[in-house]
Amino acid sequence: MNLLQKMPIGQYVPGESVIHRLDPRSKMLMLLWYMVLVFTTGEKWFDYMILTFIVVAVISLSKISVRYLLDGLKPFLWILLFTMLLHVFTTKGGEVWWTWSVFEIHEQGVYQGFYLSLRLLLLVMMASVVTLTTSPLDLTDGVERMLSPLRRIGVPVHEIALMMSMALRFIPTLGDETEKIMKAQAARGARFYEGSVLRRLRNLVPVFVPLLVATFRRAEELAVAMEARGYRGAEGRTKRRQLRFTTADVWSAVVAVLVSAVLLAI
Amino acid sequence: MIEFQQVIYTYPGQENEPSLKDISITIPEGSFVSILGANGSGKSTLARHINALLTPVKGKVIVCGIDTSHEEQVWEIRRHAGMVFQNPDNQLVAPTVEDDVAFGLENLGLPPRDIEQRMDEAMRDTGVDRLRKQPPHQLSGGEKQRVSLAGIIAMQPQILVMDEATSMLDPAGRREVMKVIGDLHRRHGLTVIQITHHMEEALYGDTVIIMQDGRIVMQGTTREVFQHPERLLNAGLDLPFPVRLRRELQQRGWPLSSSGIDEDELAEEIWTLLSKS
Amino acid sequence: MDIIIEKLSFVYGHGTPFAKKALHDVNVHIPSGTFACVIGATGSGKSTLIQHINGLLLPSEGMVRVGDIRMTPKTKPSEVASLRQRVGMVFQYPETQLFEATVLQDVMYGPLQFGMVPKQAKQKALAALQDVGLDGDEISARSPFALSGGQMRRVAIAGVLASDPDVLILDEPSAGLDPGGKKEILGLIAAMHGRSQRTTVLVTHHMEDVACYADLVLVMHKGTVVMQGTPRQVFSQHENLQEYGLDLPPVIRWVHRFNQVLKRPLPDTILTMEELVAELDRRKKEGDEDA
Repeated sequence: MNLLQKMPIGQYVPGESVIHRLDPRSKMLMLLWYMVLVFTTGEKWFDYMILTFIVVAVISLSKISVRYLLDGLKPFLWILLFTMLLHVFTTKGGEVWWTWSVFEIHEQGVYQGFYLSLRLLLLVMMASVVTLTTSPLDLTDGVERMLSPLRRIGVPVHEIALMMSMALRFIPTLGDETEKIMKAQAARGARFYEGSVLRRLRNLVPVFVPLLVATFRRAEELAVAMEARGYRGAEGRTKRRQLRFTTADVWSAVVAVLVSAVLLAI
Repeated sequence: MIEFQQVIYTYPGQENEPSLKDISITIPEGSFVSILGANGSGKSTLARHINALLTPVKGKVIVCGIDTSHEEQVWEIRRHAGMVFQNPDNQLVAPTVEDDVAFGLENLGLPPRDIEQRMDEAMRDTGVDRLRKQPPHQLSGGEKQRVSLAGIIAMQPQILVMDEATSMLDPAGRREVMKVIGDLHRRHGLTVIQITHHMEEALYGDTVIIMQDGRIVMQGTTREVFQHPERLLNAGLDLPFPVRLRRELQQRGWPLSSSGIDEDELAEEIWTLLSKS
Repeated sequence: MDIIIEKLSFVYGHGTPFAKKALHDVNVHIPSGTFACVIGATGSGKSTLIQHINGLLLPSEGMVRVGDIRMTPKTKPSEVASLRQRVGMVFQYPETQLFEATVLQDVMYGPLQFGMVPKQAKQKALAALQDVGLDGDEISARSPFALSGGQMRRVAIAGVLASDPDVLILDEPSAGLDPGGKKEILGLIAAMHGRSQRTTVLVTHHMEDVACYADLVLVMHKGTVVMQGTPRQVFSQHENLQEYGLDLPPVIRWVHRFNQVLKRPLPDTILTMEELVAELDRRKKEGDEDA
């Protein structure tokens, strides 16, 4: 087990819910759609109720433990708090609610701080639901398919997707390797957690050099192995994983259209 | 069939020290060949000629009727000759077992339905089907190598080259892999060429080739080769236990034959000598 | 230095949802100067156990004592820093830890980290290179990355030896080498052990090495030490070893099979090829005299 595996942010939780079974492409499009909604909505509390309701509905449909989701959001809370305070103290307008020396808090500041943080929170929650219910591999596939029209203008879409999937494959392996090298150097007296910042950085040299050497060797061996298995780029290649839109995808699109209509109407 | 005709190979920058010096061998279809030799004897270099990862500087290598130096046929050759490498971590490319097994099939451009079918079959044959959804980094070394093997045999090659594929495994992992190889050889008539440091593994094969310093110094049936322990030792190799014991006893004047290479044959001869006297 | 382990348990990721028990109820005594071998199937806890001996891991429960340093669940990592110098640890494939520009600098890294002055560190480094059978004059200025696999392995081992540890732990030091390289490394380790007062702990899958070199064998299975004793004691328990997924040394395996056809079985104290050959010879001469 390594550091990366201990972080719950964005880690896929396998499941069989409706949300899990949606095509990754529709999930990504929906996320995009939701983002547009959130940022085009004015500061009307009723709109926000609907937006919040959507997130809550999606979370409950996904059957993901709310606690797990919120745990993953923790590191994000600081950013949220920071954005809020920034707005509260810098935006002027409306009644002045509080003053102290050069600091003033205006009515507008509080409103804007509140709404902006709410927007960010809703977005991050929605994005988390997507990453928590979609295996990284499906996400990669989705990205590859959605970007595939760009191939005509010379974007190496297949290569990008392959890189993403190889990153998924090797991040845990590299994590294990880093830990192993750190232990080996610690056994030779390396101290990673003592001294000034500069000293600590210098102490990482015995970790980075072997890691770099090992990674280059790994890359070389992988390239040979891939070549031996007949890999020669996107040309003439097929894909086992096929993405298919199902009735669930159609339904979610219908719901999305209806919600948009409601929001436009009021 | 694999044919090496007076092959010479030098790595770029080492022009004075060829890694293969005039190699000529013929490996018939369906054989199980073990290539033995100390590090740096040229075993891996030889193996990499079989699937055109390397091509001779001089001479010819012909695999399944195709000359490996014909660049446009390289992919055809690699379809016929699959290769499993030493480090289990550096040959699995996909984030799950089944995606990895499918990788080679995707490269062949097969339709998804065929991929699915061949993938299932290969995973069954190598006993990794219950691991299909797992990420590779959670598997044991032996499991990883069997997944690599599945990815290769899914492509339905005629030849399987194992380049020290068991050397980083523990004894249990080694046995798992060797058992699968043995099965594939028997059931599918796969030609197996294994490079190994483990003499006990060499006993699996029907033919042994000994390399030393870029040359083939000995070649014959497994039985013939292990009848010459001195020559194995000269090439920097170990002896399998029964061969070692036989040699020790012979040196002490026991009238033992040299032909038996497995433990039971030896036990029987010793038993006869002990009970006769 | 004596190594005493009492009621040791260890849990990876203690207190997180990923907690995994790796060791439980381990009790071990390795007297000073012993050549101990740790055997066990992959995943039986060997690596976790040895990392307790130099304080890379600290007990979740129980106690580990190395010389006069005691480690319990309350011990802080900073308190055991000095232990790392006295207990040297050679990890699997140690050549992956090389990083300096020259062999000498790399071997000196440990001694310098442990506070030796450069002159002393250099002296120790050269001695360590000699210990692993390398010619210091010839090799010290070279880049460690330009060496052969076997040489890199030895340089890495020298990098641990140079700190002059009282206990040397090696995790499968011969893995991945060719037969010649394997024999050399094991020969070096045995010779070094013989020359010094050092305690050596060797983790290995190679049962023949265990039979030849070990004073004490620890057998691990599912996170605990299930047997400890001399190689003779341990290898006489064929059935148990099989259950733990372990092989017998070839000599013992063969004797065992051979005995099934003999009226007068060979003694099961036979451990090595020399002993087997001598015993067979004795039998044959006896028989010759009778006849």
